[in-house]
Amino acid sequence: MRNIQFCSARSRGIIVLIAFFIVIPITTCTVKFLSDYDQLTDQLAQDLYKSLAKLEIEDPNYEAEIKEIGAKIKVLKARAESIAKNEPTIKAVIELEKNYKLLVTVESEVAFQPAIETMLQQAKQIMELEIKKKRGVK
Amino acid sequence: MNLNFDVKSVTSDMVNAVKGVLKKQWPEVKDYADEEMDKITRRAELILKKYAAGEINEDEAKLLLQMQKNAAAGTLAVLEGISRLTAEKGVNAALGVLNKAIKGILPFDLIG
Repeated sequence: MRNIQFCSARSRGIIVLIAFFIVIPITTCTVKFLSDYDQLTDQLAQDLYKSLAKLEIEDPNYEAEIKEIGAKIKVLKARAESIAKNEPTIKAVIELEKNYKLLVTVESEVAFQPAIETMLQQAKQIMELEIKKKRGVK
Repeated sequence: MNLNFDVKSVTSDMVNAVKGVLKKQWPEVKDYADEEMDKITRRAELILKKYAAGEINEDEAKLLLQMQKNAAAGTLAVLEGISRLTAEKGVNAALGVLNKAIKGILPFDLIG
């Protein structure tokens, strides 16, 4: 009988330890929706927004600038993917990247402006996501 | 070329199409869906005008709508509990409504 009671007490102790080291951390992680605010993501998105805003199809440096924008999107994507619980930002960057691939095929000024406006909306959306995180929205 | 289509009514039908796909998440999605569908119909309106004026060609017209579609799917996909695939399904359902509304206005299918 004593042995049984001893084992039960030990079992209870083990359960408490499991709760502390496994169950509680897992629960905390799954409840959390957004990752913490990431200053680098915020800066990269702002930088991308500025580059898109000043891009002009008739600029003699257009080719170089559009390549630079492509590189910035890659860096932003890599950064977003390196952060845990960052699905919303990753999804937004993936859709932005899709539009970048379409943008490089645009040849006329008339089509270029609406295309850039769409990408500016998307870059702004990524910046807004970071603002939400900064405000502590989970 | 008659460029007119009822933007308000089409937008409303498109929002309902998104609702049909995203029923469970609708309370969270509604405001975003309203805004994104409005952007898509306004973009379609602009595309029709620019194509009719000879300012853009068929490829550019399709590309501009595709970009707006990607942006809308991206917006819906960042909401909690909505995968990219589900968001795309919702936007595709809405584009089906738009396609029906503008069918015959352009000599090609804007939504490929």
